[in-house]
Amino acid sequence: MVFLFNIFYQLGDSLAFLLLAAIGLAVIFGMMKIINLAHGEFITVGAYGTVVSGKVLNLPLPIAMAFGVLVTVIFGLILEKFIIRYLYGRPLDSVVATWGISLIVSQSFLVIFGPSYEGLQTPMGNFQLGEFSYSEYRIFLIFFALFLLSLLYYLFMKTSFGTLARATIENPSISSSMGVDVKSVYTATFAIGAGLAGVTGALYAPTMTIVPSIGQAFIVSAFITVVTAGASPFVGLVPAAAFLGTVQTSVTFFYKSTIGLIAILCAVILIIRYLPNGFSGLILKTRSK
Amino acid sequence: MTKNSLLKIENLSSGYGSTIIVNNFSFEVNKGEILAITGSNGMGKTTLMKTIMGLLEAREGKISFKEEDITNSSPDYRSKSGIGYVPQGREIFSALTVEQNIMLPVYTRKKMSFNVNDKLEEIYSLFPILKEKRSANGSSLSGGQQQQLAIARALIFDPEIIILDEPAEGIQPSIVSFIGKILTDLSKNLKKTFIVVEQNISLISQLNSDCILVEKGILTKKLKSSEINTVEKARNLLSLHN
Repeated sequence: MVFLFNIFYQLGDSLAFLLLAAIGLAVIFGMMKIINLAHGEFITVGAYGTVVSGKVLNLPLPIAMAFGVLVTVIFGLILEKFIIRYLYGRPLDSVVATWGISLIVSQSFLVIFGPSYEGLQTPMGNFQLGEFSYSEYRIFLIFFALFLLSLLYYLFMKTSFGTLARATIENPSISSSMGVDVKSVYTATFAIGAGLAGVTGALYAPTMTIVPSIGQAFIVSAFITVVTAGASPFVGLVPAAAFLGTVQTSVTFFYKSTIGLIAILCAVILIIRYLPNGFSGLILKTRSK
Repeated sequence: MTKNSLLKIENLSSGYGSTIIVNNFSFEVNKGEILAITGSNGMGKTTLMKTIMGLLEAREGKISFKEEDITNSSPDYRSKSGIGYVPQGREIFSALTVEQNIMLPVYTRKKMSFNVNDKLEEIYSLFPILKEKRSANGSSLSGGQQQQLAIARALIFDPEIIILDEPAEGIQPSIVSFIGKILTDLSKNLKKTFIVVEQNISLISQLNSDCILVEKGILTKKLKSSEINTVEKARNLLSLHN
C-alpha cells in the first residue's frame, strides 16, 4: 500500500512538474507557434515576483503569488508590444529574438538580485506514511496543475474568446475580415501564456533555491512536453506529461535521476519518430474514426 | 454618389509588391442590388475584392461605404461597418466547429441589434445541412457544404452588403443553383446587396443582375441584366476564356 502510494506520489509530482512547466509554452509555442526560448525567464519573473514581494512587502504567500503572476503578465505585455508582435509568422526570427531576451533577463536578475535570493518556506506541512514523509504542497500542486489545464481547455475550447483566438491563429487575415481585432487577440493570448508561465514560477518559488537561472530547470521539460503533446496542446498535454512522467519516474526509481532524464529524452525521440503529430494527433485520429 | 449608392469604388488601383493588378477601377453598387463581376483567371477579380475588404492596400483611388471613406480602414472596421465577405476557397476555420465558424463574427461585436439565436435558427432554416452538422469540425464538410457555411458566416451579423468571391468554384451544379436561389431570394425579399465574383455562366445568368467584365485588372464591359439573363446570351457577351 505504502509502496503503491509512493509510486503514485512520485508519478504525480513528475506529472505536475511537466504540466506546469509546459502550460504557458502550450499557449505561446503550441498555439501561437512562437518558439519562445525566453519561456524559462517568464517563469523566473514569476518566481522572483513572488519571493521578492513576499519578503520585501511581507505579503502572505497567496497574495505574493498573485503579485508574481501579475508582474509576469505585465512583462509579457511589454515584450509582446515591443518585440513579439513583429515576429508572428516568423518562427526562426522568434528563436533568435527570444534567446536574446532570455540572456538579457537572466543576466539582469543576476546583476539586480545577485547569484541567489533568500527563498520562502514551503507552505502546508508534511505527513508520514510508513517510513516515508510526503509534502502536502506537492500533492496540492498535482491537483492544481490538472485544474489549471482544465481551466485553460475550457477557456480556449468553450468560450467566445477561445474561438476568436483559435480562428485568429489559424488565419489572421480572414479572421480580421470577419471583424476580429487581430492585434488585441494576439496580445491577450500572449499575455495568458506569459501569465501561466508566471503561475508556474510562483507555485514553484517556495520549493526551490531562488537563482537567476531558476527558469532553466523548466525549459527542457516544457519544450519536450509540448512537442510530445502535438498540434493540439490542450488535448495532448495530459497524456504527454503522464507518459513522460511515467518513463522518468520508473527509470529514476531503479537507477538515478540523470538516467531518468536520458530516458525521457529517448522517449521523446521515439514519440516524434512514430507519432509525428504527437499524442493529440493520435487522440484526434482515433476520435474521428 | 447616387441616392441609393451603398458602395462606391473610384479609380481604385492595387496589387502585390511592385506589380499593379487592379488598375483605375470604378463602379458603384446600390442598396438591394446584385452586381456580378466576371473575367477569366488572373484578371484581378480577387485582388479587387481583397482591396475592398482591406486585406490589400489601395495604391490609389477611393472606397466609400455608406458615404464614409473607408480606403484606409482596417478589415475588421469594414466588417463591423456592415460588409460581409465570403472569400475565394471558402477559408473555413478547420479548428472550429460548424457553429463556431458561423458565430465567429458575432463574438467580435459587443452587441447586436437583433436576437442572435433567432438569426442562427433563420440561417439554419436556409441551410439545413449546417444544423445537422453544427457540432462537426469545419474541415470535415464537403466543398458544397463549406460554401454554404461560408455564406452563413457572412449572413449571421446581418451585413448590408456581402461580397462573394467565386462561390461556385469546385461545387456541384445542384448546389450552385441552390446558392443562386438563396442569393436572389435574399435580394428580392430582404433587399440584401451582393457583389458576386463569378466565372460560372449559369450562376451569373441565374442571378439576373448587372455584370461587369474585368480583363487585365481593367473594367472592360458593363452589361445590363437583360443582356445576360440566359446562359446563351451570357456566354456570347462575356466571352470567358475558361
